[in-house]
Amino acid sequence: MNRSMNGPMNDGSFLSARDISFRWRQDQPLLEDISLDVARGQTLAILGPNGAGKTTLLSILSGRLSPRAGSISLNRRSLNSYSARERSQLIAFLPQLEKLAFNYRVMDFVLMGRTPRMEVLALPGLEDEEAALQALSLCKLDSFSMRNIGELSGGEFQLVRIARCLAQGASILILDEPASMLDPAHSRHIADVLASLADSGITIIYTTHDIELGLFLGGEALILSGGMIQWSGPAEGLHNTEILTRTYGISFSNKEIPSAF
Amino acid sequence: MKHECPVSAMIDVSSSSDSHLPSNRTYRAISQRSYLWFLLVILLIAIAALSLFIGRYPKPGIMNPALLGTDSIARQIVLNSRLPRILGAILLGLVLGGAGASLQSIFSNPLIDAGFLGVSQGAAFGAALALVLGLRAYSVIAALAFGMAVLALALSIWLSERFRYGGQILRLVLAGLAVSAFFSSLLSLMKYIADPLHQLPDIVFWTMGSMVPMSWKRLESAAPIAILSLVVLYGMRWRVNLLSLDDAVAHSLGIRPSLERRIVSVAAAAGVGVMTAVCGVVGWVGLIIPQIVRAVDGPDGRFVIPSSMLGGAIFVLISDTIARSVFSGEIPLGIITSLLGALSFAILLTTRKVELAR
Repeated sequence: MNRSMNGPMNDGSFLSARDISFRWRQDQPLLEDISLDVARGQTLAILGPNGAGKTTLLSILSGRLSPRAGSISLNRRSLNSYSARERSQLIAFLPQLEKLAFNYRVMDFVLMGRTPRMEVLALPGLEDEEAALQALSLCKLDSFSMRNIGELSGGEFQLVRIARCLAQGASILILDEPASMLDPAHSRHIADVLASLADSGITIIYTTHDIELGLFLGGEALILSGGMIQWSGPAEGLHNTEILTRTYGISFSNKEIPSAF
Repeated sequence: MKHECPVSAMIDVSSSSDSHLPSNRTYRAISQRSYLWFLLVILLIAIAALSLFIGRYPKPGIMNPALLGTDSIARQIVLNSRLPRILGAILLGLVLGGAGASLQSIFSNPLIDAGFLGVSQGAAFGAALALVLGLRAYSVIAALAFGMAVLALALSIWLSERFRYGGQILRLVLAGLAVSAFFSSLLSLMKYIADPLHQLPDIVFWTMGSMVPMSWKRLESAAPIAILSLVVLYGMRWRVNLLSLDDAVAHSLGIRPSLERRIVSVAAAAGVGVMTAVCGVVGWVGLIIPQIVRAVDGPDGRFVIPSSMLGGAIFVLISDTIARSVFSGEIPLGIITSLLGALSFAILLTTRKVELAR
């Protein structure tokens, strides 16, 4: 189950954060001295109560926010030293919610993910369309390319957004709540897609409230609370209900965890 | 990096022998392109050619082209009055349609247009200010109109980011409303203090929008900036799609949303400002034309931007041909575009949804 431990990919750190701190307001530190290493091909689940700073941490790891203190490195090079284009070829970030003003075709929407791989003012070409179709296929959405985004269910839209990240050709996916607000069938579908991506060597860093998703995808997990990493270890550790009780302040028993898995 | 990572390698095209490749048939379905722009080009050329011979000389209606060879007045009217005017109307329409389409995309808001963001009113005030100050040189009028247009746009965006009411779309519409009202009251002030004999008629006529002042000379002076604006907007026709996404997503796709938004909006304001300096305020084109194009052709900027430019040109050209030929006196162009624009806007909003995907 622990994908980070097997395979030849696990040689040296890929994305690494050292002592990062962040606050929106002077008197309210949100993250304090967070350090973490995500190896090549590793899966990392970030859990924690609402307001713990999970989304902020993802924004920092994806280079959208700069930490107040500390540093992020990508392949042993400071993340700041990458151009936006270089960075976007390596890291794809998917925010939890995405508003869309226009009813794009699924194909065109996924093609937008190809932009980091295109010349700056170029239009997507045939090879970009091939790549977009393959990304859709990896998300098991082969027949969706000509549909409009407006016709999709929430779960289908989520998968299309993941396909757009794959079209980027990035080897690190940073996903904020990829399976939230979906019915069990769709969240299972997304979990399957993520598991197959992880198996093929994509690094996945994601936040979730769904402990079962963390157990299903395996790899590493950490619990963020009060601005600090309260616990980290192999995802199987999430079976330990004591940790969860301490984090969320309510008691869990294995039987009680509602699950689609 | 790609080669270290199986899935990205799979997505990379270098491994094109992959069995996941779609068959040629799927391919053609995907590669369907829009040819609406081609249709619009043909239509535009046909209408322009026809318009050249429509008018009130020698009698109201369509002139016999053979007259050009024999009648020097006819030749003079067609070449030095109608032709620059037709080209001016086309340029104005291209700019208004393109600016409207790209502003709607980059602000993820199908309900805005250069006129709605205070750009037209700002340009109108700038030009009136120049007239009242007695600065009648076209370059000064154009510079002031352009400067005020950009200022108005910047104000609208700045205000919308500070409003504490409504969602993003509503905030921008409201901010544009406030800025437009601000500049139109400044414009009224200019009218009030203007010399009623020499300056006021110019200002009033000009706020109604008209192609009457268009001449070869004016066209030559406005064209460089207008064409530059068109080139920038056309060049950004793929990037505007990305700018319509959430900032976090646009950032993840390697673009700098705030910088690129600024480039597109300054290009749009420059084009609209410089054309407004010549032709006055011509409203509704940039709002209504992209709506129609999107209804026909989908929202992809690759097609919406060029087709909105061409559609805008056709709309302004037809409106101007009506303006100069239906009555013996000229009807201001802005009145016709507003009448037609408001009417079609009402029809569009009542018969089909303005599409907001999610």
